[in-house]
Amino acid sequence: MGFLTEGKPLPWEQAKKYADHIRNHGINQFLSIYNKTKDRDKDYLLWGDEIEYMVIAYDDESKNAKLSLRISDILHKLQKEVEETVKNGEVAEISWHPEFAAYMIEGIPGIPYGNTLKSLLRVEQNMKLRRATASKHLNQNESIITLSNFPRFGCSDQFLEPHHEPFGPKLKSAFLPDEVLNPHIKHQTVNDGLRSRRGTDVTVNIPIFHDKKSPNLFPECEKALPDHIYLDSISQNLFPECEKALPDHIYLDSIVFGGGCCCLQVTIQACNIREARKLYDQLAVLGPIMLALTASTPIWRGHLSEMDCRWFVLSKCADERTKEERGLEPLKNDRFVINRSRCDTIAYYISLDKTLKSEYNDSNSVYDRNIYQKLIDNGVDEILARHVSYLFIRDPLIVYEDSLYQDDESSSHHFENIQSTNWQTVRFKPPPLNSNIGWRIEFRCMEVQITDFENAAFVIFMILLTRIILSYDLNFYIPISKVDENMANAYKRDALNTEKFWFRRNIFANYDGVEDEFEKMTINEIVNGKSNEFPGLINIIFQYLESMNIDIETRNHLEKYLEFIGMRASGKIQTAATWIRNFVRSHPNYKHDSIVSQEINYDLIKMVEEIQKGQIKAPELLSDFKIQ
Amino acid sequence: MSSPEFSNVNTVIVYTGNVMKQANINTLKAELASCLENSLKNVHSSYNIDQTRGILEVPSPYDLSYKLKDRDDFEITVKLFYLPSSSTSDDNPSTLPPSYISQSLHHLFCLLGITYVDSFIVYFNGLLFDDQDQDDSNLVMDDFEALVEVWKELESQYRNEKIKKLGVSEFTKNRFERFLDVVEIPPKIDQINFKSCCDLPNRMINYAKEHDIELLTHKDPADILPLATFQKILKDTNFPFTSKLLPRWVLKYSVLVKCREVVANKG
Repeated sequence: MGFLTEGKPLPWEQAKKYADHIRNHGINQFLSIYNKTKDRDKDYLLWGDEIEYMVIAYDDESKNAKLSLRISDILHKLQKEVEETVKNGEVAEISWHPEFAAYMIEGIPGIPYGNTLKSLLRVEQNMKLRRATASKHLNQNESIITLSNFPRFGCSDQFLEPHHEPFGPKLKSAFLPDEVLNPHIKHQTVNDGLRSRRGTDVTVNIPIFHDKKSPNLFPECEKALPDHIYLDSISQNLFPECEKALPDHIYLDSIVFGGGCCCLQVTIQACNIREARKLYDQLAVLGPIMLALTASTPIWRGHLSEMDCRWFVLSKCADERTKEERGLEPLKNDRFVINRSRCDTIAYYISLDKTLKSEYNDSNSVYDRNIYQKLIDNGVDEILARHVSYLFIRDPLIVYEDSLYQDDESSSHHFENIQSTNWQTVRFKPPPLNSNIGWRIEFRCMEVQITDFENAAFVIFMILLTRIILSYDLNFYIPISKVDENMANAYKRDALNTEKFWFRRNIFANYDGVEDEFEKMTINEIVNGKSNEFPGLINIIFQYLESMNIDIETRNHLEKYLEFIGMRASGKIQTAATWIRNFVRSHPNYKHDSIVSQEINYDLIKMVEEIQKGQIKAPELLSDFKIQ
Repeated sequence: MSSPEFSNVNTVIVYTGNVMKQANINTLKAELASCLENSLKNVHSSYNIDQTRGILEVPSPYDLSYKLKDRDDFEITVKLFYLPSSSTSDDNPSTLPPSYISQSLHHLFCLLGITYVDSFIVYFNGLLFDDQDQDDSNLVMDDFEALVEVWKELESQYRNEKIKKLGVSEFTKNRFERFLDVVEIPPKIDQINFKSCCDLPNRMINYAKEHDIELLTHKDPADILPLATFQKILKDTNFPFTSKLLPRWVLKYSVLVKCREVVANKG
């Protein structure tokens, strides 16, 4: 989460009074930035990645792997190191940040990578440096890993080091102690804001994976009749809306289940605003595809589920819409019926390209008409105005009384307040004030992988995808409703091999023929191609590389990353989610009841650590790609 | 069928247009063949003829005039392939006319509206790269002299600031050493065929590092435009005087946007 300044935020009851104030000034600030930077051009290709890490504390005697809460101590030491480096006049290669959960730490490159293809090789190097640097501050029994979620998070025994009891005053969760939330007041405020605004606690029900002897979960709850089954952008009527735990489902009752997941993000600088808007649209379509390719979240609260990705849970956890806003009750106190969570796929495409047909923007998501008009009156085009006025239907979650009154020409805090608490699959980022940074796109939905080789491969793949989009003028447009459908399919168990995704048939923009524009394809077809009908994204990347001047060693290295992606896409090697499932189900301790016991968890985490360090080979996951 | 205006033509230049915009993801060979076919099919509706010099230019139907603005933002790399039938001399089939250099550059400059290219790489037909070769035995003396003649022309263009960097293709360490003995301006680029299955050519890599040579890769086939393919295209598109035309050279060009790694034009 980017936007977090110092000071004491207001409690929700007071904060909500300032919502309009912050929105109004946020728009003024946007206009100020927009007018100052809309003509920026020729910015270089620069990019960066973000990875979130967990620290594990092993209790080898009782064969228990636990989440370590020593993060704040470790983070403090790491940040001190960075300060020292900077004081000595050197460039800090890594930057470390706290995150929503108390057991998570975020590491990013100190300076962006770029601007040649050769610098793609720096990605894995920097990721390795992050792990090596953090490892210096770990205890003997600790290790740092990258897993989307901790499999036994919220289980009834000891999964935290040190242990704490659940159901504290802050989270009021039946499964999680308050200590899992980062104690800094701002995270607590976001948590409170989301809960208070919604008016009810988070209720997320994930279908359990039925194995031979899987239990009927929560038999003691009354068979919950859903209050209302509604079509929302995520569930597509698949998962009924319910205020209680459902039988045969894994029930989650706190925002931290979602916000506490680790992910892999990439931010890319475009040469100008037009290019940024184009990339935003094209990458938004690729979101569900990349989610399915990177799937690594099959376990929730110690149970194997029917989902392989975190996205559904994340979206539900950050959903602070009231009943009125969800259309369950008539509008009285709230202004709009909103058909999407704050954390969701994008609502509107924003490019100025002729290839964007108005029919593609079929989400019919509400947007603030007054803000829209104000933007239009101040020189913003209709398409961009609609995007911003959609983002600005949300309330600010963190309000600092001390900084309510800002100079809109020289501050962007109110704008960032709303902008950075819209957690879409892709984010369109205007240049920061007074900097040399340009218009950027943040690609946010990929799941983090176990090894840095894989994480680097996916980052590199995203950068190369943007290069072919620009070089070949590719057109991936499908209606937003189809992107949403893809998303609902992407997180299903083994979606990579079993689901088909809407994808545009002809992705070369200047095709004149009349045709059904899109059809359902498998991930393998999308990435590796389908005989003469569809070239496959990887093959276009290879052809692009042929046109570039690349030295032989760089080319050789890039080839390895791309080969890996191609093998994942074809199912020849497994996603982390599939690999984890298979590990659990073939463990001698597993009782075919979907339950991931403490011992299975311990062995799994140990294995994850050893694969990452290159100590153990896992050919089903990584073929024979070398992990150094 | 043959048109009377074409009766004085002795040279035909065919353009592929910007391949990046032609939805053509294929091998280079297939890409070239299909682009040539598209251009030649269209010749009767669009061509330029220089009657005095007897040059017929066949533009691509996809190319709307593409003149580069802001030349400094781009890096332009060209590669000239000397084809097997490049020799215009019946007595000496292994001659490599150096004039192809200025000829191909001239047409490219007109096409893109430029006055220089950043890199010029020359591929001499038949050369193969083998990192292990001990004595460069497949390059006989006559051929070698022909290479040097071509190189002299390149050096002249370099001195006239038409080319910023000179390069060769498929040169092994030995070939390089032989070459460096006789040329004045050394190649700064060596482009070799990349085979992902093989080990990296470490001898050449080390040599390149020591001598500050950029070792680039490509997947261009050795026979980029076989004679049979060319003649079939001429026949299929009903191009006049099919039997008399021989393909002499292919110039491959890439226009890259600097610092953004985007291919703006390729043909």
